[in-house]
Amino acid sequence: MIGILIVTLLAFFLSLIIVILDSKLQNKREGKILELLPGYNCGACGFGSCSGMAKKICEDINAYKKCKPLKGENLEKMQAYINSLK
Amino acid sequence: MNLISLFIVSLLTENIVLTKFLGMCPFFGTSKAEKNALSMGLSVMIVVVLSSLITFFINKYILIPTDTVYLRTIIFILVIAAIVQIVEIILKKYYSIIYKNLGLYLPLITTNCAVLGTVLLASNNNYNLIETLVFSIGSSLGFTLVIYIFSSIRERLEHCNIPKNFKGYPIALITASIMALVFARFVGV
Repeated sequence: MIGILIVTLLAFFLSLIIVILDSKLQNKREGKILELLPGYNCGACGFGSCSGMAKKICEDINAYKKCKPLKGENLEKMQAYINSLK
Repeated sequence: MNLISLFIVSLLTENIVLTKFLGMCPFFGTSKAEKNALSMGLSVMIVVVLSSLITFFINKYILIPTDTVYLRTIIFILVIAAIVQIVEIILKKYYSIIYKNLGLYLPLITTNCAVLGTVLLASNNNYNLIETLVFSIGSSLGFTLVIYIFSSIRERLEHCNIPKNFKGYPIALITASIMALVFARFVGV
C-alpha cells in the first residue's frame, strides 16, 4: 500500500515539475511569428510550411523576407514585430 | 584518499562503458563525430550527476525509512526519465543545434544503462552523499572520456584505407574491443 502511494506521489510531483518547466520555457516568439505569417503553407520560402518558416525566423531574424505572400499591411506588421525584437 | 581512489576506479579501472559494458547504444550511436560525442557525454554527465543526487535522497529519506527498498528500480527509472525530459526541454530552448544533432539519442538517455547502472550501483554499495557524488562524476566523466576518444578514432578511420567489408560498424566494434583491452590493463595499476 505504501509503495503505491510513494510511486504515485513521486510521479505526480515529477510530472508537475516538467509541465511547469515546459510551459515556462515554451517558445512564445515562434507562436507570435506564426500568427503574423499568412498561413497559406505555400512553401515558397523553402521551409515546407509556415511553422517551419517561423522556426527559421527565430534563428535568423531576416529570413522573413523569403516569405513571398507576405505583402502590404501584413508585411509592415511583421517588420514592426521584427524591429521590436532587435 | 579513499575518495580519490574511488574517483580513479570509477573513471578508469571500472570504466562504465569498457569494463562494465553499460551504455553501449549511445556509445556506438553518437560517436560518429567528435562534437556530437562530446555533447552526448556532457548531457549524460548532467543526467547522471543530478539523478544520482536525487535518488540518493529518495533512497535515504523515503525508501529506507518506509521499508520499500524493493521499489528502487522503478523509482530510479522514473527520476531518470523526468531528468532527461527536463534536460531535453532546456537544450531545446537554449541549444537547439545540439538538440537537433543528438536527435533521437537524447530521449534515449532514459534507457541508457550507464545512467541506471551508476545510480543503482551507488545505492547498492551504500555510498554516502559525497561518495555518491564522486562516484557519479567519475563514471560519467569516464563515459564522456571514452566516447570522445572513440569518436576521434572513428573520425580518423573514415579516411583510412580499410577493407570494404569492415567499413562502418564492424571496424567500430573491433576498435571498441581493442579499447576495452587497453582499459582492462588499468586493473593492474
